[in-house]
Amino acid sequence: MIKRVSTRLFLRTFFIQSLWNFERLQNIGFLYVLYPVFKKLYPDKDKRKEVLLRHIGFFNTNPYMANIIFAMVINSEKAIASGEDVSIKKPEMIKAIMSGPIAAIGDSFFWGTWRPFVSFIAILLIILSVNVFDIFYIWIAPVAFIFLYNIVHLVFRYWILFISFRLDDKMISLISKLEISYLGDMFRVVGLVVIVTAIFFYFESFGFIPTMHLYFFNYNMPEAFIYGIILLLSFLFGKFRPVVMFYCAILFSFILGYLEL
Amino acid sequence: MELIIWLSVIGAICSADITAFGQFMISRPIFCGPLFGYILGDVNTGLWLGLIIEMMWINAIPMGVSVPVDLTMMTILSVVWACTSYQGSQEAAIFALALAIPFAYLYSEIDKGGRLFNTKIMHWIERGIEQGKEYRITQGIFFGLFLFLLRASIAYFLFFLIGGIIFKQVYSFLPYEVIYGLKKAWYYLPVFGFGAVMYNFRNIKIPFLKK
Repeated sequence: MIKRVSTRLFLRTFFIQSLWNFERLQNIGFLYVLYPVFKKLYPDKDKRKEVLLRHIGFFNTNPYMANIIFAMVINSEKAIASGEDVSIKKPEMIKAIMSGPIAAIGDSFFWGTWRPFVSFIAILLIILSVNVFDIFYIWIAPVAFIFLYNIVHLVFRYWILFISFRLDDKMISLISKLEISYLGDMFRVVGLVVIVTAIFFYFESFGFIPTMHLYFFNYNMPEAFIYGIILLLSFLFGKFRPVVMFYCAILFSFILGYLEL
Repeated sequence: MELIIWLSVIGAICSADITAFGQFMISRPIFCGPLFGYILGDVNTGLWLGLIIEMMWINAIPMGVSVPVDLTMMTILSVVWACTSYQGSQEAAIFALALAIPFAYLYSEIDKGGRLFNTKIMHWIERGIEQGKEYRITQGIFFGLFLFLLRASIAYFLFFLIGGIIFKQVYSFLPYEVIYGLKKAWYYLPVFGFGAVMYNFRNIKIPFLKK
């Protein structure tokens, strides 16, 4: 029974995309991670050459979730090398079948939910540091962002490698039981609350400054009114590309500035 | 000049985090913006530009074969231009960001070229394995990483210098009306960012209300 994962193997997994190419994506990264294992399992150079060429094909998945495939491929290669009754095609099957679904889970959870969620917390901290806390504590936001993101990221990356070694084929049923989509929905709801709080404090901090009141056709209105219109407009036109939105926002500011002058 | 070289190297290391090594998210605008602001002595500008870019491009992530625009380059270029030429000026920071976007798109094209070159390295490794030269795997990985850092450092260095000159020249000719609009944009852009973030929540499902 495996008790710990080799630190060398774990560190190598960070290099999976270092030679990312348009033809076979992460294939060389995959070989780099598993090379010491292959060297140990297949001391004979000719046999090892066969194995390396077998694994040089197309490979692409989420770099965090790839650790599941690494562990499962190592387990089946170990079985093949020790002469157990395992098909030589099993590692390739694992790579082909698993990479798509786990990439979808990893991308949607880490890049679609967890990273935005941590960003929202950092954004709230920035706005709070302007409004509630002292401006001196403004550095807390980026530090909190990196710390919170990586504590989950690194622990998950190590744990998933370790647990995949232990569970092997049962890993598929574990992933389905993890209810990552439920967890993702939970974080999205909390994220929404965080961002609404950030919007509230932003409006409070910058929307009611007396010197920034607008004078349109003799009406005196706080800047928060314009912010509300902007928020609505940017929400309605959210499907446009960010770069288009950005330049439209600059243009909008010019027009408002010109009207005010 | 020495500072520019150091900034280019640190910028390249931050950019490498997007795909090439680790994904510790030091490449995200919310971190690298204040980092460069801190190095240049103006954390607030870095933080604010990072906040704007982070929110407006909240969905830009490397998925599959798509190569999104390099947000790290966009953030670092704008922070460095703004902090080295007009430190503390809000309108200059927004103008620097508006100018940094085309440069970031230009770099994305250069990056695509680099990834095409990686295919050649990959074939070189494949031939090496066939000939029994397995050491090419390790060499290839580090060569790919080195090339990435080299091309990013050179791009940062050139963009800092060339873009910096363009930025200073154009900014000094801007009329007062435009500068006033840019000053307004400093407060409006985060609100646009909030709108972009809220757009992502349009299909939100509340888990405990689901059947």
